[in-house]
Amino acid sequence: MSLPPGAPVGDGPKIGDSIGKTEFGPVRAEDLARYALASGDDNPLHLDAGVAAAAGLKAPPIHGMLMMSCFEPALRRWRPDLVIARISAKFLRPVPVGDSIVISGRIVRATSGPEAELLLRLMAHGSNGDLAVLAEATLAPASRQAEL
Amino acid sequence: MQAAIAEAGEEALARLPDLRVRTDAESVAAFRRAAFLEEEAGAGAPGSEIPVTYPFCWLTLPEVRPTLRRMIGPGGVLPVHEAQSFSYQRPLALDAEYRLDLQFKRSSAPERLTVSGAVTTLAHEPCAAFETVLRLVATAAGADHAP
Repeated sequence: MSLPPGAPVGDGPKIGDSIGKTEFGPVRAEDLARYALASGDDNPLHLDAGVAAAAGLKAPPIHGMLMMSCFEPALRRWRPDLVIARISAKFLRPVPVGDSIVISGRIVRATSGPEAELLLRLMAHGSNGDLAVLAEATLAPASRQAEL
Repeated sequence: MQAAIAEAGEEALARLPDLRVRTDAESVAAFRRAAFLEEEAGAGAPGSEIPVTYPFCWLTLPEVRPTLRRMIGPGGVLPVHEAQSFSYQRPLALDAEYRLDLQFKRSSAPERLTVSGAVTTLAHEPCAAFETVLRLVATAAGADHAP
């Protein structure tokens, strides 16, 4: 069952509710090196200022996947009882090393009943306020996923 | 593993079927620390859930990289990560082995490489799917920057 904007979802969150803001960083060069090692994404664009400069960037950019990964702890902090069932992201602008990543978002759709889910619009901004990643995530109760 | 590459019009296709991938505890723990998941978990014991974005790591496996590089093409191309998605039917378990099917599709105007992954249990039960979209940008520097 889809609910109209502003409608309550039981006693829980309402459409339009914010997840608040969660800041990660400042993200240092050693954070990028650690992520490169852990993820295997050792693209020198993120690790070598010379390569970044050759690509027209002032500084190595933070891995897009590292920024996308920040949505999960931010959502976990907001609603530890929910897990991400689906998430999709578009990488819009690079964020240079040394910047922080600020995660925010709002509920855009909610369904109730046994198949209850929340659809959220999520954003990752760099320190200068530029929108770096725009994403959508569907959250479901952790208990339901565990049953599968 | 050698991927078969087929040309279909302006699109090139390749597939790496039935790879074996793992969610090793040590690797997952390192990924969780690197992706800031332990910061939000607080001072308690480290979490053991597999991060949603963890399957992206499997694109950097030695048996995957050669196909990825071949599908990106020769030097002079900078792959720019344009979009990414993950979808879960069931959570991945720690220290477990899974099957991974990868499909690579190269398209033009603009030049893109789309990598689609399907993760199943060894008994072929669906677990997750993901899609990586790389925009392939020609550079004068001749960079070779695949993940």
